[in-house]
Amino acid sequence: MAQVPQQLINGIAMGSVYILGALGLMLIFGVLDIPHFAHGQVYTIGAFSAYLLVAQVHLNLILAIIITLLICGLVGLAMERLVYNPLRSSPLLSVAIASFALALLIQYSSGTILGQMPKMVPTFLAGKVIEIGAVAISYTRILVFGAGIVAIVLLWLFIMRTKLGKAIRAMTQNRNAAELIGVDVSQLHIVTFMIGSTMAGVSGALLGLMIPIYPSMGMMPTMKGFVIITLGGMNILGAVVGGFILGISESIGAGFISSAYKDSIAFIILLAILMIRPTGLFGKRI
Amino acid sequence: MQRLNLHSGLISWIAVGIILLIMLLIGNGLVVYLIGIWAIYLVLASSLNLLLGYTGLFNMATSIFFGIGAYTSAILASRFGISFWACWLAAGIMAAAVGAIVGYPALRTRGLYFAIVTFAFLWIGTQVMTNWRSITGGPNGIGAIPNPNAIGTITFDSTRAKAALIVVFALVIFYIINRIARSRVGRVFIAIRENEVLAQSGGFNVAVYKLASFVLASFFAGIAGSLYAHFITFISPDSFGLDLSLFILAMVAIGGAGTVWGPAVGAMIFTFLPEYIRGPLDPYRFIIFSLVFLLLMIFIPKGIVGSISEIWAKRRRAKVMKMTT
Repeated sequence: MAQVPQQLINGIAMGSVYILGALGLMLIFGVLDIPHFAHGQVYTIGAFSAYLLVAQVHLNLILAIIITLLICGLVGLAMERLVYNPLRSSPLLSVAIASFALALLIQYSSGTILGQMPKMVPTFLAGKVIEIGAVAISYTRILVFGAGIVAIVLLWLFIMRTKLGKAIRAMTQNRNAAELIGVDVSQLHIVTFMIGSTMAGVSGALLGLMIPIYPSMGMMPTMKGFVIITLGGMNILGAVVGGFILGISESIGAGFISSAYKDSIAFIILLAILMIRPTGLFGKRI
Repeated sequence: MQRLNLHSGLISWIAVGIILLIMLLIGNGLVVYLIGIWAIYLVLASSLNLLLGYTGLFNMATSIFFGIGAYTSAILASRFGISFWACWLAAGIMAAAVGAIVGYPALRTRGLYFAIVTFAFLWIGTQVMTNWRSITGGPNGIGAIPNPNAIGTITFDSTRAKAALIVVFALVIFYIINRIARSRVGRVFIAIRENEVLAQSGGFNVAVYKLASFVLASFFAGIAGSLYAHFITFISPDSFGLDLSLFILAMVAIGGAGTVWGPAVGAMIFTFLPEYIRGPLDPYRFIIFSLVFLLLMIFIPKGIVGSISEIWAKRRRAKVMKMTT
């Protein structure tokens, strides 16, 4: 039982990464109704951009993460303009399949350009830990958790306190009404995509600090993101709770049940909850 | 008008049959192999078309039902020496049974959530295939699966003969699926896709019809798995992962969801195109391929066959307008 606190800590750090990815997806899927299955590939781009900037260009980690944020924002912009905007009046199914095509394109391109070998983002914090009794907390995990919380709070402030955030909330409640009172839907699509992709990028970069990154890493975060959204029912607090539930249960499940089935735990929880409550745990939109 | 449609349908069937026969007889090893693979994809794509194109269910777990069929058939044939002619049916029934067990709870969800639930099942399925070593052989899979048993003097020991057998299976299944799609049941499926609530208030038990389409699609995917196992004679979890499910979705989408010939065209593109982008472009062929896929989805979201039949319908309408004025 001595390992429970340790796994709890690891789970919380993973959970904060999951939450970041899921919040970006929640904005895009919840507000714009776009089934963005290529979201996890933005995560991959974020992770690899952080890796290249730190390991190849030898930039400072913090600077590298800031540049990564800008890159991922631009990727979001490009995706919205080039792929999703032309498909705005198409059925959900076509959009979903186009997003899969986009996901495959990014996955294959990054695999061809960067190779299949797993890589870690090098940090100056590597190997440093704080020991509290039998529990060792690495500096990296503290940084990841801290950065995650800061990003979540910033997003919350943006949604709740700014005019654009208000427009986003208005659009979630009633799209047509929001358009009637003068919300610029096109602009909002762009902004939402850029913010959502930035969240994915930072999440990917942070993940690269903790576990190895590889070109096909993106599919799983997308699906876990959808699981968290389903658990949390399309609101920020719900996603935070859902993300921590997922991170902690995976980490504890890997320790006590079987690490081979670690990634299945998310989906078993999802199936169990959907069977009892088909609308998700909180069952309410933003 | 009805008669005319029947005739043009029959002509295209005969044309496809003749082309395949000629290609099977004179094609080189690679062409024959690819035709066999195409026929297996055809079964998978048309079974998914039944869900995606008719009932409107976004199933992401096609590759797992395919895998269940393949493993069932491989284990029965190589460990218990059961004839292929019993194995393929057992494979279909096994996949259908799992389809019923998974589909019953999964079909409580709708739209994209159904996609996510079936993805969850896909993931758990691949993990089970990889880790349940005593049954599935783990990551190494199962090898030396016997060729289909001979009927009388006809043997199926060459790739050419096996490919021909698979093509016959595939065309029969393709025909059955299209008959189902055009029957009264198929029209209920379309009604569910278009408006579930309306279909329910029209007196149809939507839950039962949805489950029926899911079980049927799983059954055919299971048979495809059996054909694959005996064709390639080696299976491993890698063959039944997310990539395959995405490819089958893409085949249906590129060909045209809800059309008869869409899955056949989509499967054709997916089988032959990656094989023929070679030469200096070889390292980039998957990038080129996914780029073509993405551009097709952006510019013709209804798929190739879907768009062509739309253009025909427009022209026919224009002609009728001209005649009446």
